Amino acid sequence: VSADASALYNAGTAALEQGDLGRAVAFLAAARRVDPRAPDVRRNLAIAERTVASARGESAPTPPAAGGPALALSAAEGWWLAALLLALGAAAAIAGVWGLHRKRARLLRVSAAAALAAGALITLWLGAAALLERRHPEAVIVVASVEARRGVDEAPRTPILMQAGERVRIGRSHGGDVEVILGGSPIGWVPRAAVWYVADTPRYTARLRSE
Amino acid sequence: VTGSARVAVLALLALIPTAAAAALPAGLAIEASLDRQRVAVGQEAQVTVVAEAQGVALPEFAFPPVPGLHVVRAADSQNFSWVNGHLSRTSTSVFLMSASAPGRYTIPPIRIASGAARAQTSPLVLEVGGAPSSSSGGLPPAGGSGEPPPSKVWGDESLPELFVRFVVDRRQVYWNQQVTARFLFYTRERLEEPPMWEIAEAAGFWKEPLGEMRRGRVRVGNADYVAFEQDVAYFPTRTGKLKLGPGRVEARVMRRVDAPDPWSFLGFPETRVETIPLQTESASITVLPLPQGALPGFRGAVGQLVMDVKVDRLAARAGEPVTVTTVIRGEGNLNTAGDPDVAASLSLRSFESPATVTSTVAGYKIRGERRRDKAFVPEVPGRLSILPIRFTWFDPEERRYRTQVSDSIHVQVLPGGDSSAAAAGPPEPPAAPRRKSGPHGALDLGPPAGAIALGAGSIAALAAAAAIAGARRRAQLDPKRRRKDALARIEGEMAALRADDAARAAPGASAARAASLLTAALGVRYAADIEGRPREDALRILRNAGADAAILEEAARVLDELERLAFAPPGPDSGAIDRARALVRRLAEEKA
Repeated sequence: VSADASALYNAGTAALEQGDLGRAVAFLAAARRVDPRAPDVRRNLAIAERTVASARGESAPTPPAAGGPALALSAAEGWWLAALLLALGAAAAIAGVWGLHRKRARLLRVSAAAALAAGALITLWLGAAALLERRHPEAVIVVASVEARRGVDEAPRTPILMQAGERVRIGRSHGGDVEVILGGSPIGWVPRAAVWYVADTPRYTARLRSE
Repeated sequence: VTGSARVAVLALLALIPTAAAAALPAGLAIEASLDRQRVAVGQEAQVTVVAEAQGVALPEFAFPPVPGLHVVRAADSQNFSWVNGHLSRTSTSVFLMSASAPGRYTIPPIRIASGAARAQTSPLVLEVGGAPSSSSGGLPPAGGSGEPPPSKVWGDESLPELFVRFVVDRRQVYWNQQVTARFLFYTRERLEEPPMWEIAEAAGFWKEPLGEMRRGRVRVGNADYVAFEQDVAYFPTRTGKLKLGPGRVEARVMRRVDAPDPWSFLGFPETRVETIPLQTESASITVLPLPQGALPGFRGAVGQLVMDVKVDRLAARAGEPVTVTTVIRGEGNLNTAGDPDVAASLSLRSFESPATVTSTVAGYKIRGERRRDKAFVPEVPGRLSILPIRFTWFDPEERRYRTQVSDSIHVQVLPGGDSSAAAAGPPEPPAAPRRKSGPHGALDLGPPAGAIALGAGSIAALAAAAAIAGARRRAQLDPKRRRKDALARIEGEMAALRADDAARAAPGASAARAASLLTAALGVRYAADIEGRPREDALRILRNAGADAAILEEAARVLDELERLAFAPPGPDSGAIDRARALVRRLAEEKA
């Protein structure tokens, strides 16, 4: 499903101006997935995250200055880069194997090995991220506060109060609840309506437009 | 007797009395000395016995038994000296003795005898004193082990080498009021390691060590001591007459043993480690109950305390938590101090975290703070009031209860869509909205189909190229394939020979070249090195290599024809080259 980065950004910026930090973080995080080098997206997302941290009494990094695109790639760009590196490496390797450039055979072999290794590393990295997203999708708390309670048949533990804008990952689901994972560890269960999956945010922009 | 013989006899006669004197123990002497005249029970005294005799032989001596004294022979050494033709022998023995009961012990003379010669020491007197603290009745019994209880002094009481003290800052306290106990250890001896205090678990007290053991130098009486101090804070948990202590410590004293043998260990003094247990007195503490009339909200806090109250925000939107933090700080046992009640004007969801206590040592006191968070979650817009928080504690110095009450705290609760963050405004203005759409992209992190195709196709192409290259390399290394290629190449050369006009114009040279090519083809076919050899040798080698007899016969005939043609005068072509070419083809096909 193709998402419009500007629509997500505009929805996130509007939510940020209204003080709806949970939706602002969700929309802007989604916009950054599509358009990671956009300075306005990066700036507003940093402002939203800093406001969330400030509301929780924590310190957060200063938002980046406008302009100065960072060397960030979206997942699709990363995949294309990896594929291109693999293609270049394969071409160089084939040229070396078939002896098309006998004088530069060594250069071809080294270039092929480097490109193939870089492509394979990027592929592994992106593959791990995609697998994590598939198993535990990223989500944002969108209600003002929600209590992450222990699940049925789980050992008693102290409930954790979560606030809007906190970024979590989602584990299992049961009934109307989903399991919240923070820092790699499940911390409790919250109602499904209290979180927005980052990958699902475009349908909320559509709803906003209809409203 | 010649002159030189006379001199030798006279010298021998002169040596006889000297040797006799050396062999016979003549002058006998023995001395005994004590390193100290008075010790405490359990302490050791050292007796050094030096026996000397003229001559080689030195009689043995025995230490006389002394009832009540435990004697151990610690070291022996012997020394020989030759002075002015006289040989003397000295024996030095060291004995360590200790008594298990106080009293006056007399060590009888130690006697030695050799022939008619006799010698003995003077009697020695050792006074063993009882433990002063035990004599004063302050020490508890040792627990029925039969051994005397450790003393608080070691050495001469007037100038002890080690002693311990136990000091408490007060003998009468209120319940949960701190009593500071100081365990002090003084030494004039060298210790192998710092002493380790065994802080007794005092019944009815909760204890907290006040930091690490301290060390310093002090002057007590007329002597300088090294002092070690361990401070402990005790908090009584019940009332009545309670006992603190005693504190026990074991000191590992490095004692110098007088080296009896000057040659032993290159003359360095020998030391041994003696473990000396010491024990302080105990102290009786009267613990008073807290006075009647405790104020409401009193949860058992005792000390010099003060309360702070903090709220993390004064404006929040509905659903946002408002956290109230109470901090109690000061001197006292904060672990048992209860937390004040925190309540709000509305009935709200609330969450309490367990209290955390941090403490530090400030002099002889424990200072710290006890912190507890309580979060309220307002559900509806309006005004949320945190009611006054009351904290009550007992001040033992002023002997009265004290109360501190905070002011009410009002938090503005805004509607859910208009949060505190919005009310306060974001920290910086956000970037403006966009007017154009795009860029577009996928939000899932999986690979695009095109990238998958490109990457997978590249890898597949690389694999195919590698497979083809490997097959080619293997084929090039196959000997059958290489032989077939060589025969085909030779046949091609022969065909070119027939097609070349210049070669047709010179049939002799062509025939010689064809003969050379045929020989090479035979060598390649049967893997034999026959190039340049006479024909008979070449045919024999080929026959040995397994060549077919019919082919060899045909080859010999064709080679004969080619040879004749090569050396014959110019004439028409007899077709020998064609037959040679046919034979090469036959060789190739035979292999195929």
